Amino acid sequence: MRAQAAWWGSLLTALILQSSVLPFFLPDGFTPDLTRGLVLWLALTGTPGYGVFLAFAAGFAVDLFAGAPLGLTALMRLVLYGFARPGRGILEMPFAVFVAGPLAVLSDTVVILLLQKVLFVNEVSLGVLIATALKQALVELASVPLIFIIMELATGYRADEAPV
Amino acid sequence: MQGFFSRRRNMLIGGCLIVLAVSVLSSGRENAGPVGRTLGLIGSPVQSLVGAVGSSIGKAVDHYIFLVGAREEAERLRAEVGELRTELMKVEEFRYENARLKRLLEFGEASQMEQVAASVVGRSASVWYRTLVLNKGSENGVAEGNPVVTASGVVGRVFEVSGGNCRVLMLTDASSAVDGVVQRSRDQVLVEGNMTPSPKLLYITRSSDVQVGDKVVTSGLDCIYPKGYLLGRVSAVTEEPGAFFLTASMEPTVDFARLEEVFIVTGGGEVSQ
Repeated sequence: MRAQAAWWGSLLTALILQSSVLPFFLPDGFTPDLTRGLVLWLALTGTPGYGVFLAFAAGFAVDLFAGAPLGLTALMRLVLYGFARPGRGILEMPFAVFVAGPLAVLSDTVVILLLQKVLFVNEVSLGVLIATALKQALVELASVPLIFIIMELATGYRADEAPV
Repeated sequence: MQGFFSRRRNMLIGGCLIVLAVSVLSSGRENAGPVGRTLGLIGSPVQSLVGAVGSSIGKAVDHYIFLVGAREEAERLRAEVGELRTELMKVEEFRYENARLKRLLEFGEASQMEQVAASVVGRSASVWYRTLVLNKGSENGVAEGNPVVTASGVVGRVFEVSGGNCRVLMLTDASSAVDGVVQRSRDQVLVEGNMTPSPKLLYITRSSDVQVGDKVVTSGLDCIYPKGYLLGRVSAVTEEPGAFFLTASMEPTVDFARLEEVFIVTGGGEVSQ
């Protein structure tokens, strides 16, 4: 119950922060996608349960907030969950939490690359997509460990004790 | 004789003590008698010591009282400085807001079009899109496709409207395209967003005289943006071998990172630059 409340509370805070607060302070392209970190937490710790539904909900909420094609971020979050879920238990390894963020960005970028013809009316060069992904990877390097610390405090659950 | 002294012992002792007291009292004075001077000589160092100790204690008490007072004063002043700083920041913020709104108002009056002023309340929560959320919607007469502008130039267009707010596709989004014209050379261009801060300028012929710094304005031909709105300035022009058109990009005149107030154009018209 506590984990559920903590996760939903964190999702709401993340949405407000990343859509109404952080973009006003951070340079273009360097705003972290906090919901990505929350979905990573779900996938790597299994806390709270029914992570796949929560991952979808997180993505769908971003779509509603961002005005993106409805379902795109939901799809990205599901792909991320599926991609990260087998990695449950890796947080026992030192520095694994720092690698998780950039890998999550890679997952998002792959989805965007595969769907770019459908998503964007104009042509977007591969260089621009890679540059955007690199900026995000850099941001996630810092934001994911921070999100994990906050989630540990909020849920009372140790990330490195996740059952494999 | 002995009987005399023994009978008056108490009186004698009392008298001696009075003399001693008077002598000690007068030891510091110039006109003290021999007894006074003698007692003064003996008593002076003691008196000085006692005086010094007393003086030190007095000073210490004074300093302590002063320090307590000073600390309280410093705390009060610190609090006052904090309040004044906050006030100053508020005044500064009001000054900037006033300047921004004044520019916006002047622009609104000059453009002679039906416009709705709106504030930016949110930005895209994803880096793959460039969108804004404004605090005006269909209740305020906003409709899909309405251009969004500021005194500095075009911001984008409304692509989704609800009762109390709307979403704007920014000029730099990868799904945005605006028909424009280079103001000096009169070249027709298509301004295409590409997820970077500098949208591309398409279809500029090789014979064109487009130069870096030229203003690009809306042409009005796309039936979305009224004619004459400033889009930006040409930031780069390159000629690639074998290409039919020049490769160019534009720096928008709007600072998208610092957008706070905008106008939603709800009625058609033309802008005089």
